[in-house]
Amino acid sequence: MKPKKLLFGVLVLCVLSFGIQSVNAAPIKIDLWHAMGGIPGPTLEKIAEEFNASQNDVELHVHYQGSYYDLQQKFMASIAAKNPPALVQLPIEGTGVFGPTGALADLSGYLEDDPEIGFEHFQPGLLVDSWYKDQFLAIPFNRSNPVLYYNVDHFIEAGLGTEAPETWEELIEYSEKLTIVDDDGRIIRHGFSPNLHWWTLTPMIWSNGGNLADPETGTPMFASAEVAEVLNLISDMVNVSRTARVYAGTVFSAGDRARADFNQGKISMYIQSIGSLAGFDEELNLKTAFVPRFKDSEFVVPNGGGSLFMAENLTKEQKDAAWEVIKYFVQADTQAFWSQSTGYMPTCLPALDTPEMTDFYSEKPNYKTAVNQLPYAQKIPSSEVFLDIINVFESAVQEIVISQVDAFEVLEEAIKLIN
Amino acid sequence: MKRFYEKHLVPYLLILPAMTLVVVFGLIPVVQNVEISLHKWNFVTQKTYVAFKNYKDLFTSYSLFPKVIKNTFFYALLKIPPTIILSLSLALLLTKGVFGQNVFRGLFFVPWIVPTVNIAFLWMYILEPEYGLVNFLLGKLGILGPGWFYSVNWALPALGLISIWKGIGYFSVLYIGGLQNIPQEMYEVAEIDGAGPLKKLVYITLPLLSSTTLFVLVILVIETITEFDLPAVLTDGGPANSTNLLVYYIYQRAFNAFQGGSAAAISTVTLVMLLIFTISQFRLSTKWVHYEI
Repeated sequence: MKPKKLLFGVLVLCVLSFGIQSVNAAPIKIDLWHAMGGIPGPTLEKIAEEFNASQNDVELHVHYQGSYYDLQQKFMASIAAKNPPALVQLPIEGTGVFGPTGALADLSGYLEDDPEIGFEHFQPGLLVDSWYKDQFLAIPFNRSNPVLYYNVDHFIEAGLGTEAPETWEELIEYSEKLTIVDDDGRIIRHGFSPNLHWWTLTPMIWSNGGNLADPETGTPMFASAEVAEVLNLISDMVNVSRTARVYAGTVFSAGDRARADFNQGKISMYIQSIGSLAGFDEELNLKTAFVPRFKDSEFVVPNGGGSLFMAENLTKEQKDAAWEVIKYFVQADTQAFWSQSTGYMPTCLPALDTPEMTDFYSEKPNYKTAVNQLPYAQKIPSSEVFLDIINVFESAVQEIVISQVDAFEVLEEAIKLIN
Repeated sequence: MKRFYEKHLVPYLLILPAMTLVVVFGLIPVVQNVEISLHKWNFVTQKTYVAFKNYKDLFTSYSLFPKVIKNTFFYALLKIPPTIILSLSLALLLTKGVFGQNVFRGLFFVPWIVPTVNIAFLWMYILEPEYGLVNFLLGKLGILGPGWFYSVNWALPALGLISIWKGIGYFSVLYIGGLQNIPQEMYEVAEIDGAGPLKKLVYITLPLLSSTTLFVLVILVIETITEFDLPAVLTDGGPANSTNLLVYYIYQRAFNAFQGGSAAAISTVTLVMLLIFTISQFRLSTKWVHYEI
């Protein structure tokens, strides 16, 4: 009798303890889809690992989904399948594109109630692209704006000093001085490379008084004299004065090609996100500066980079868990580490005041350009049809610059394609 | 009763598994696709019925569709005749008893078994305008190579070139099979009658290969119309939509523009085009294809 009783007792204990353990140790699983390749990719994974090590309630899994374009396609598919990830990192146009689907959670409640992180936690200029109607959807995480990268050695060699051109008029002049042609008439160094991407063209277009779409209604409006003027100017630099070189298409992915050529000194100036800064050779004597403006206007740039969004279709527990992840990703320490590793600017004000960050900026002032430029940042005219608009617009730009045809006609034809 | 059972029930039971697959993965999606094509739908919000608007929109001046169709036909012209001529020539060479014939047959077949994406990356480097092998060799000959994928005029021919290179090995194996089925006596008889190599080719080889050619042609046309990987990996349909082909365009409408209805309409048009081609091909083929020897 006795051994049997004992055995029974042990069994009961086992079952009980097992039960208790499983109640205790069931962390909530949260998936985060992101688009961070290159250097930012492993950095983001490291932050996720540290988050998982720091607590036991939430288990974060990060999934790389390719470029922002690929990510947005997959995210749209997941919404259609009614199975979106709890968290997703969308680019700057994400608010306008996905706001109308109703699939994203309004986070203003969390920001109002949370004692640690509220609206005032963030750099103010970064929040303008977060609102869809009266819903706050986007928590700034990896934020950037476009800056002008230039090769200081080339500048000195061409007798241009070490300061960047401030206006487009100056940039065109500088490009001519920086371009080198060899004895056979082949160009071995181009002064400038315009990035034929809607986001890097936007500062130039805004500065000339144009826009891709109406910021209020989202209606495409790029078939204007202001936009055409800008594109003709670029086309002339590429085809007539041959002081600029362009990279188009996905071949080597145009952005990577431009970066490789800038690294090798084949182009002297180009415009790219501040988020690319960590990717250049240490030895390269480069500086970053504000994107130029036209002579009679102000500096202006679009906000860029990505933000964290939460899915609406979650339980209260899942939402709370996802909020914990967001909080960890935007707290001062994480942001300081993220910014120093990648080049993206810290999105929160407390990070800017940390001693590490101030030391970092005095040592590497190139990283601070985006923060300094932030007061000139404006909201992009995103909407449900924005992805279609930029797709059509970029095709038109390629046609204008590569086939060397008059910009206005091409834009007028292209804008009809959007419906 | 038993006869009835055997005659009218058993056959249907036997084809049931296959039919289930065809209906679930073939017919139902086609019908659904037609239904979607009559709506405006971004995959997420409610569908709104718009009748035939999506179809009408394809043929207005506001649509890329005519250009995409033109690109696809041009691509077919660039790709299909050279593939047929080159793979037939290769097959003729490789049945002549050349030294190391079997090794060559294997080698030429290799591109076919490599995934298209890998091939695309390989050719991305070969056709790179500045550092690529092709333009380097052209430069040695004193020719300034084109910009290939960067050029509005050369991007589509570049895709055609890659596709031809990939396909030749496979189609020549089909032709080799066809050639081996031609009885040797026919050539001997022709020789006795004094036929030279050219006459033997035109009057014996080509007619007796016609059923292989029909098969090759149908496969090539379907392959061309459904081409997706090359533009998706290499060009994104650019520059300036010069390599935007039919299926890539469907993908763009659906997953860049989120215009589900419009994408479905293009799919339906593509389906109808392929149907017309395949049916007419089999009708016409009775005139030029000889199945009997």
